[in-house]
Amino acid sequence: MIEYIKKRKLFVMLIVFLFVLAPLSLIQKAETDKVAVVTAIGLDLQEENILLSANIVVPNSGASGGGGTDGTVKTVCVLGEDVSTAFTNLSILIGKMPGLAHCDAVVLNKELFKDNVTKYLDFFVRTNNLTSNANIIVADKEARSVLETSAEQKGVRAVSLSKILLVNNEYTLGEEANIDTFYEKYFTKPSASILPVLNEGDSKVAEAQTTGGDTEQNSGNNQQSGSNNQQSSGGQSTSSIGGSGGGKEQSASGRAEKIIKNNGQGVVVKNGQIKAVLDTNQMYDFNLINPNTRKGHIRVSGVTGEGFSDATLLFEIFDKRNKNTGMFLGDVPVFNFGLDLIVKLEEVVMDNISIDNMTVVKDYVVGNIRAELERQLSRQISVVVELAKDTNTDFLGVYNYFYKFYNKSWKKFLSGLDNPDDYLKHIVFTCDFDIEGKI
Amino acid sequence: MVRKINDFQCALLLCVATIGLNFLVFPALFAKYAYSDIYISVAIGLVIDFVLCSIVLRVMKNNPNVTFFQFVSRAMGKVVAVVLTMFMCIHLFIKGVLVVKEIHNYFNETLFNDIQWIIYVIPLLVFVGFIVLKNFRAYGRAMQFFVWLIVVAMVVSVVIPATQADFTNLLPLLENGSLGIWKGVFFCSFTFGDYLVLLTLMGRVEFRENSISKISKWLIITDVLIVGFCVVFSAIFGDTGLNHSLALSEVLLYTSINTLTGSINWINILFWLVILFLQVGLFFLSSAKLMREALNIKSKVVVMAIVVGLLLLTVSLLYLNLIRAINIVISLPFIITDLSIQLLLLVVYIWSSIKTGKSRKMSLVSVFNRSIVKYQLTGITGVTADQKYTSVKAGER
Repeated sequence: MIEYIKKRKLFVMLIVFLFVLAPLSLIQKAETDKVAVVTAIGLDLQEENILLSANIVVPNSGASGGGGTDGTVKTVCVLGEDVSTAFTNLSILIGKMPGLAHCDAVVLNKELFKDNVTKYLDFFVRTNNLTSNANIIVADKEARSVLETSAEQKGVRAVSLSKILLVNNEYTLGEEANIDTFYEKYFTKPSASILPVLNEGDSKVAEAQTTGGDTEQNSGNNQQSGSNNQQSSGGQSTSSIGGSGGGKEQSASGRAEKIIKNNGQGVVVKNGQIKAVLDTNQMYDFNLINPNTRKGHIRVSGVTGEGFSDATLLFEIFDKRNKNTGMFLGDVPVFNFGLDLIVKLEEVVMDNISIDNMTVVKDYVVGNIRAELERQLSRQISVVVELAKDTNTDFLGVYNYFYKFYNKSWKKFLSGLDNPDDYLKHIVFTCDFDIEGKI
Repeated sequence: MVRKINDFQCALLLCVATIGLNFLVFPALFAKYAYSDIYISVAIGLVIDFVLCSIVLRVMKNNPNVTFFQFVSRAMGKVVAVVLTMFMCIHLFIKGVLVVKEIHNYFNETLFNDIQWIIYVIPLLVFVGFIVLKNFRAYGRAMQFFVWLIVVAMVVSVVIPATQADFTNLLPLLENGSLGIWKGVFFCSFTFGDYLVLLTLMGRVEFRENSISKISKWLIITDVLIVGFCVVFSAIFGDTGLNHSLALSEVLLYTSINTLTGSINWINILFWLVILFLQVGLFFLSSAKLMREALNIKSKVVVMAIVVGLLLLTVSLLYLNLIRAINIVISLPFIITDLSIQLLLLVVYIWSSIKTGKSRKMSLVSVFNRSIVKYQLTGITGVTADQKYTSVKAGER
């Protein structure tokens, strides 16, 4: 027997392990019995307390209705004195520990930015529960209603809040606004960042009916990108547990449904407080100088030439390279926005369009594209720069640039100012363009 | 007759020991002192280590059949040899404990909310006990099996996050002066000192002509990858690096590629768990071999029982307290003691080598000239001279 064991040590060890560990695992509870899968978190302020909303996946055992489902998503709301207490109350309410490993979005009410939003984000930085890098989203109104609408409109397989923002990441922000990048910018001297805004609103296509487990998300007023709007069959969430009622207004009479609205807006945050709200146009202006984006659109209005008048030209940015650089001319810092663009004429809007003036416009664009675009681009960039100066928020990356590449000169410059925080007003901004066109 | 490992296996063992804690908790610790210049601190430490490894390799090659204990015993006496060997034993044991604590911490705090710690600690202890009974040759062969897995994991850990890193975060260079860099090297010196593993392998490596260059090349590649990882870590996290204690996992999480594919992070973590287990095995195997030699314990089972018992005791005392373990190894008294003894060890080693070298040269010259030799050739080098040289006994004229 001993000889047998000596010759087959590994095999014997394996058998011993199986006999020791297998019973241990049999008596353990399933993870889904102990942990609730949270896919999104929302924070609002309610009087002195924090209203925590959580989208929780409720697994289904079987498919019902078209397509089959993996589960439904329900929104649960609890109050707490702080975020940590709210999570404790949540676990008590649902009888499980909230698992944040699949949480990809933290939606924040604008009210939280009145003092300093990091007071409420601190929990998410310290907890080991949140292993993914969740996106930070600002709710135009209530975070709870955004979560409820999101839960109603998706099943487990459908697009998540963070994926709705993929277009923002490509076209405007150029990077994910997640907890890590927020804090990375927060701890720099300018402490400025831009966060995306989502809202919920009514869909105007009232005929959209939901049947069984399917949801149709229409694109009436929705400005989301088409590819992000695709929904596979998803479960329908019903009423939320322990919280406010859901926002879904589906009925046989075809009243409008609630949908998530992404208007491409953003908020400028400095030191954890909102300094300005950027509308869609301003976000597109910001896109031009954002080195992380490659695409975009440029609109030039009021173009008049021989044979046509008051035309609006829309250009698609085929490729964009930013060469934002700075230097010191004497003691004066100069920051230059350099843009290399390849643009393509996408659309011409004018009255009385004919085959003749279409050709005329084309010839005009070929000959004058540079001048028109440069004027337009300069106007757009100056809007963004003025906004940064007015709000004294350096989301342009000026401080970081000079600090990294001209450290001594920059420190000397700041020490020479009456108010070192007011440096933007003393910087000279320039821009130069290199534009190629494709007609 | 000691079963020897070849130079490639030696290189692998050295590289695995070098990786050690450099991808886990220590990047964040370096950042505490050096901020975004951690890669400079790490590079300095690795260069020092490389120089010491090169010296040790040369001495090892010149004395291929003696272990460190025998080597120092002959030159400086048994007491010195026992003290230094036990120091190495304890040093490597503590390193192994830190790696075990990292695994323990990772399973308990990051991966699972509620897990019985014996579920993974018991297999770990059994693994350690099993490895301690083996020899370096078996371990080296196992390492050869995993080598390409390790290389892929290291390259992926550096290359993929590098695509998302903002390297301007490394600027300005030496923003806080050079003091932080040297403080990082000093206070995090425990992550270095991998030449001690080489000393453990002394007398157990089959050297060929190009062995030293082969081992050095592998070591350089490993060092470059470690420094590359630290560069990427700094580029991604900048000054906030000290908040990211599990560097490897967090660096991979940061990249959006993982968000899109969903699986690279987990594959890499799996590879790294394999590497961690291999490191645990290496450190405790080395520690056990040194203990056995120093304390002259004949039975492998007794050594195994001691090592496993001590490990269980240490892990239990430091239950869920990785921070306490880290604070011990970066405390001033510990560092001063550790560095002082390492310095003493090196001095003794080099002195022993010089002493041995002089006596060997004299004996070879004497053999060629057929004159008196002071030491028996077989005593020091283990090489019998009966076939090549005329054997001359000590004191015979």
